[in-house]
Amino acid sequence: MPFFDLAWLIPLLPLAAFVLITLVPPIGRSRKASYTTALVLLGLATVIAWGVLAQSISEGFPSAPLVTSVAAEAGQEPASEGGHAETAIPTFGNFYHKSFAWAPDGSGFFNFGYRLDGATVLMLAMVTLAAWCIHLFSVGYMAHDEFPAGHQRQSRFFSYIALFTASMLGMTLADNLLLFFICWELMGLCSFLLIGFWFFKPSAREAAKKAFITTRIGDVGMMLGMMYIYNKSGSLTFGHEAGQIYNGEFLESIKTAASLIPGVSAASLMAFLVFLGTVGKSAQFPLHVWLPDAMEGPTPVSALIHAATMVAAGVFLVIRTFPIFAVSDVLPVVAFIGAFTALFAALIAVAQYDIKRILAFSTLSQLGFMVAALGIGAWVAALFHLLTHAFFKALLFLGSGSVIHGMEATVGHDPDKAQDIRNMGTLRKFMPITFLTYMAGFFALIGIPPFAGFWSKDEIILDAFIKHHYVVYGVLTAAAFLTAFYMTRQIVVVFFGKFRGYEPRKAVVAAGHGHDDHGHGDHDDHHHHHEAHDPHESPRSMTIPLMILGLFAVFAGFVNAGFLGIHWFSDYVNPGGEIPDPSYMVAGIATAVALVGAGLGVLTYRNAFKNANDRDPLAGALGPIWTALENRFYIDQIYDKTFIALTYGAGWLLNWIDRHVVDRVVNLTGLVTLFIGRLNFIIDDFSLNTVTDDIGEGTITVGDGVRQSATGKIQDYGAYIFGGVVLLALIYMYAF
Amino acid sequence: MHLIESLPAGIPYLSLIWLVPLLGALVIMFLPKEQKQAMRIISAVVATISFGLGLLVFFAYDPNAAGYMGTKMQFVEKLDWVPQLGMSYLVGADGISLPLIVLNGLVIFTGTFISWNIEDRVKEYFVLLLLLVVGVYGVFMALDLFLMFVFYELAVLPMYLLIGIWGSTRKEYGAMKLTIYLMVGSAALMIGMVAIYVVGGTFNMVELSQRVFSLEFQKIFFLPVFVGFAVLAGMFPFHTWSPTGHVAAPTAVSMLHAGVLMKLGAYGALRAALWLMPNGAQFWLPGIAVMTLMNVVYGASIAMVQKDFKYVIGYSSVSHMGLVMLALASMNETALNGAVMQMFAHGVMTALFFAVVGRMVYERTHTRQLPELGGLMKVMPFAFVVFIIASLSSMGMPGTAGFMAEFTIFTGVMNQYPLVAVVAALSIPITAAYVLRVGYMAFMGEVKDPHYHDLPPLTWQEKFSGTVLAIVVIGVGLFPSIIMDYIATGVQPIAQRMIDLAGR
Repeated sequence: MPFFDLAWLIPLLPLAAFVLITLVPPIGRSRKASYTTALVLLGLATVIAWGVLAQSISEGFPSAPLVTSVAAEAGQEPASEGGHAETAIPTFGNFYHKSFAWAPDGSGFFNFGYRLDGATVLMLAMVTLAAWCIHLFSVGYMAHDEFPAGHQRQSRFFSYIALFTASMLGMTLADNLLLFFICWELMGLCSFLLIGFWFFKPSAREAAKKAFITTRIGDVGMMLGMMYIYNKSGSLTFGHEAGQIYNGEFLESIKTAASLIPGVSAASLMAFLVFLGTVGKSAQFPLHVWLPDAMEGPTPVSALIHAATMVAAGVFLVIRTFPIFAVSDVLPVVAFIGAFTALFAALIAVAQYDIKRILAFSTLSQLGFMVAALGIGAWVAALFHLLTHAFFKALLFLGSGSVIHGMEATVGHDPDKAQDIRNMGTLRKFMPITFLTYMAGFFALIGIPPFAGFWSKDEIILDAFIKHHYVVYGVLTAAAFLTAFYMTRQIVVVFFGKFRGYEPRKAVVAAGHGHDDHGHGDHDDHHHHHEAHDPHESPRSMTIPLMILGLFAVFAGFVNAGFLGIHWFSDYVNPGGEIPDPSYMVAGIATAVALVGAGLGVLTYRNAFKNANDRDPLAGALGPIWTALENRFYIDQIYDKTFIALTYGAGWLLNWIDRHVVDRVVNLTGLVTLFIGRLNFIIDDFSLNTVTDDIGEGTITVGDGVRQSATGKIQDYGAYIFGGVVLLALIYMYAF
Repeated sequence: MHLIESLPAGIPYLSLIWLVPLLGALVIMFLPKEQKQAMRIISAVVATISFGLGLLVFFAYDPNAAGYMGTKMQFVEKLDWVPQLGMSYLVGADGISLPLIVLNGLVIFTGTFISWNIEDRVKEYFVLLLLLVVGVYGVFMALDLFLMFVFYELAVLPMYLLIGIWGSTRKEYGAMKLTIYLMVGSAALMIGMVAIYVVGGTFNMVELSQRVFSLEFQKIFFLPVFVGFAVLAGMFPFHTWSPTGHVAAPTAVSMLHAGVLMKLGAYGALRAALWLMPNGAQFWLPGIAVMTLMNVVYGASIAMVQKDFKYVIGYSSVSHMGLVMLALASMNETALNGAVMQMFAHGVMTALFFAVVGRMVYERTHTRQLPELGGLMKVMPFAFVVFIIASLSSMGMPGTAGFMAEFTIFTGVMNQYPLVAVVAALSIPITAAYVLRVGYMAFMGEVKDPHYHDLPPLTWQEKFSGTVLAIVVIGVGLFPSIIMDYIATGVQPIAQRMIDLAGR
């Protein structure tokens, strides 16, 4: 089969779709031509990606990793002295590598290529299929999207998501960290463009900006980490050969080498910096704030970028660089951040009313599960959960999109009304396909056997238990309990009970959604309200993707069903790796916890919300705790008042100093020049011409400037502080 | 066979590059005042020819061939000038100067078209503009220290008049401030230059570069030469002339000023200070690295709170040029590569910024106050698109010229001063923040002033210039090796000398 050689086409096909839609006017002008282009080209890419998977299963990958004895020893020898076993360094098994001289400059810095191994190929298969389903869904979902200025923006939408898909696929295939980073940044850009797709809404614009800047903070860390790696190893290529970053000697050297921070090894600093990229992109605490706001984008975008693919890229980044993490000391930090986010986000999700925001916090929480799994060394389980989660979370998001689409028939195109679960109820009768597929996603997410999420989540929890990370185990179990609870709340309130959409909530804007109530003005002008209509099932282009994803949500877990003796997935991505024995006790507890959570959810919400304006039953019981949860622990407000205020404050202060302190030095120079100018004027009286005239005028102006600049104590302080900072820095440079 | 061998020999290509605009200036000088259109056309023609010649030399240069006196210098021309004092007309080009010569050609080429609407004293304007360009070309190709200094002064002088006469917003103040600063820099430069001549016995930089000055000499005289040039690159605390100057200058002058003139400073610092006195560099530059940090982060922070659109771009130049100086201060090959790349990338990007802000927006709305702008995307979509392209480059997005430059710089700095690199990296999110902020305030939202709907449409000259610059930003971003390969060959000997002489 020729698929390995064709794999470079996988990202290029959607890229071609982007270029065609953007640059060929007949395609760009037509909605139909643009989505057809995107669907066909991405469809081809999907075929190739699954072809690669088939070829790798039937023939295997051709090249074996060059594992030196050092790495092999470090990888296989279990630590004898007590505590946690040393984390194994993965080899990622056999692979296929092809390199292109993109821009030959002799140094190899710009030699780009692609690398296929188990992890990559499964990611490719998932991304292409999920992206294709979401493209198809968008055809129906975006059909009624109209723009105030009458722009033809449908084709723009498809060009953006095609570019996004190309970047994601390019990142997956990348054979080195630089290319990985380039695609990573492009994804960030597409995410920005798509969150702000409805740019006429100020809330969408602000959310886009927030997402871009927040993830960029993490990216800076990742960039510095890459550079540190590059300076130590001489290349950024994924591979075991000398000078590449999986090389055994390299790993051994950075494990002990000191970094510029005392007591921290070079490997730890590298891993920590790279992990910052993950924290930003995968929205882990404390950089999680952008993801819930990113729901301002169209729902297919939320499904594709902010649930299935891009946010999971952070997890994939850690997997790709896992050999460095394995020899570093930062894994406990990773585990802590992941577990904390898993629980923290699950708590917030309990008190949200917006159907998409509940799912957004659920995504945060599930990403926390994956990151925690990485932190305990269980990268195979993390990848497994990444893949199953991508399918069922995309399914849930698209399902919510279908619900919103149906609700709009009743409450109009107002996100505050159409997305508020308190306005819904008994939708199972109106939209049966959406309901059934949503239930599949629901069971997968809360981890009921034999749905996909059960197997992958169980594997993470099992690993935590077996490796004696009992704190992680406990926290994740608590998060799993909350997951079952808030998802059941959502299901009961949305699909059961009485339909409350005929009399939607009055304009009482829920706390934390304060910024949502601007800018819908234009939107409404162009849409008729359909107050009398019932919600309706969505068109076929929307329900077919739901059904495809639904199949995966039900069956995808069987690729690694430990209880049935299947561990194809583990063998495929990590040949020769250790496979944990399944434990009925752990799985039993996990299932029981999920069932209890779901049961409590049913009990609490069975009779809640008779009316759209009712209070949540827990709101009264929890009091201020509920308010804190509803306001997402006030993290956004705290950031506004601290970091953002500080950054702007510093800007104002420095600006003031620049104008009044640094500038005064110039003006002094001006005075001196004025004196010399006068002197010249007397001496050189005869050769007077326009030029010297102008200089004279200029110096007088400068002199005036000096006189005007006020003097006062504060400015002097400013100057002293400022000078002191510079002096200290200089002393530091020369003294150390 | 390389292109250089197929070119007819015996033609002074480099001299032609600066002689053509000089000739153009002379011709315009003798035209009657009323022939405005003819002046514009002549100016456009000579700008196009010199840009074309620059490109020809760029592509004809053979990075693998050896050049003048064992260096990589090619297209060398030498005429004795004052042999008694060791001064000569000596020009040549290597991988560092070539991209900058092309950059200068590109900016004057697009700048002429942007200046099409100048109506006031057209003659003087174009004469001065072309003289400015002559000076800049000269600095980039001079291999004689004295010649370089002469061209340098030639470049600085017209600036004063251009800003003072055709500028806006406190133009006399801006012009005067700029001139005083640059003159102070020149004075420092002069001291260093004379000292080098007295000890070295010649102004020929290639000869000087093969001589090793004593450690004491280098320690004393590196600083005036470096700082003298760094003033022009806007190094903290000598940077305040630059935002004021940018704001006051007419559009094409801002483009040249921020796009090319500031690079003269960085180029001179690299060529005269780092090349000739590597030990002085090793002594002083770690401290200077800390100072440039102020540029990078401080400039970006200040850019974030400006109300005047041009001030934002002005301070962003301070920040980006700070990266160039920081890279120079890191002294290793990677960082120096990045420095030259950033000079090019920033030059193109900032020219594009000023073309949008100064010409397309300001000359229509007559305000640059961000709170008074808004919704311009609906009125001038073309300006918005090219502004976005420049913004992406400014924040170092892959696919634009800025990415490779910034990335290479940070890789180099990280190797030399990891802590400094970490602090400097703070500027990256801040840059994203201020660029998005101005983009939002100026272009998004509702149209602030109903008059904006009646603004005249963009002219073809504006669109042409914007398109050319945007294509270069993206083209170099997609294929950085077009420039990187040359830069690497030019930087390598300087970096190598730095290593060879280390630890003396």
